[in-house]
Amino acid sequence: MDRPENPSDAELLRGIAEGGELACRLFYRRWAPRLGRFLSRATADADVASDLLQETFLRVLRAAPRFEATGSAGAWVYRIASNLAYSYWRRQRPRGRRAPLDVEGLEVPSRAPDPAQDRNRRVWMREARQAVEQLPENHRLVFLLKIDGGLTYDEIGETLGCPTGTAKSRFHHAVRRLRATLRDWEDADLGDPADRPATSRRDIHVV
Amino acid sequence: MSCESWQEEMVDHLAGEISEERAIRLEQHLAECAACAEEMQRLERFTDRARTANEWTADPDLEDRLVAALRRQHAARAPRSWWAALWQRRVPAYAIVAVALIGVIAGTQLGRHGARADRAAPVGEAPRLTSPPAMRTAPPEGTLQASLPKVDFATTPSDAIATGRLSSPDSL
Repeated sequence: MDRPENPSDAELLRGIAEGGELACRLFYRRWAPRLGRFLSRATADADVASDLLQETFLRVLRAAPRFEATGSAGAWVYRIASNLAYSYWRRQRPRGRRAPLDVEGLEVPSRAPDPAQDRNRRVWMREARQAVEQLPENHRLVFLLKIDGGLTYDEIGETLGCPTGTAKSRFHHAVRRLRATLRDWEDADLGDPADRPATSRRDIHVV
Repeated sequence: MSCESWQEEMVDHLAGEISEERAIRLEQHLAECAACAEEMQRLERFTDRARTANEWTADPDLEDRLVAALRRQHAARAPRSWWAALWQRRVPAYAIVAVALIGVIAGTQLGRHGARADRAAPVGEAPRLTSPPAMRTAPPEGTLQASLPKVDFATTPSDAIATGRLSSPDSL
């Protein structure tokens, strides 16, 4: 049987429902990096993120026969991951546990050979993680779904069961609040790529 | 439109949620307003940092574990006999325990009933079995034997039929 070059998510989920191992592998490779980053930041704990990622995919395997192709697969799969993240936050809250935020232990992509920049970047990451953790849960989820998941406002609304306008306003609120919290870092040298020129016409992404 | 309102447009632009028409208007404003152009640069730096500051390392075995789980799940969904299903614990364990418990209770109750019947007889005396009246008097000697064919039980029924001492069931 001919296989499409680039099967859609709905086709892959149908394949998974029929026990297709190739479909399972393709779906995993397509979604694991984004879901992994989302869960990694949502939990701030690599081991927990790994466990939740596995649980997300196990639930996908079980629920694949019930997936309705009319909806967005991204919203569907992120709904599963978001529910797991919510449950994790609920479990953590009463104990007052904080995610380990060891500055030295943080894995930071090396952007610059300068050790001072690396150090700054680690500290910034710690503060950024704490700032994200301090966001209200709904705003935090929207921010992570947008930044790490790359979902549209429509998909975020579908994922969380809220109107598109609500998803948009929560994202704007999260950005404002995070920028205010991290204001002191805005002009710090973290070894970022060279500052871009002012936005030009070709840089603007359109939908 | 105030510069504050343009900030909303900048966030939507960085979120990839801006239409072409809005993008053109934003570009025109950024060309005219130095403060907003600078704000745009800071916002871009913030979102770049936010996106890239989150590294995730894949578990190299997870993909294979998921495929194995899918294989098991698909095998479990294949139809099989009720006994195989029971054996593979598709019947909940509590149902099996409940059936076993009912069996134990029923057995206990029957045991108690038997013990009560035994206690009804006088102590030290074996329960007396009485024969039905018809059996109390023996039939006259020879009447029973004469009405029945003589069967030698040392042989099998088929032998008896073969030797003519017993009628074949087909002839009855």
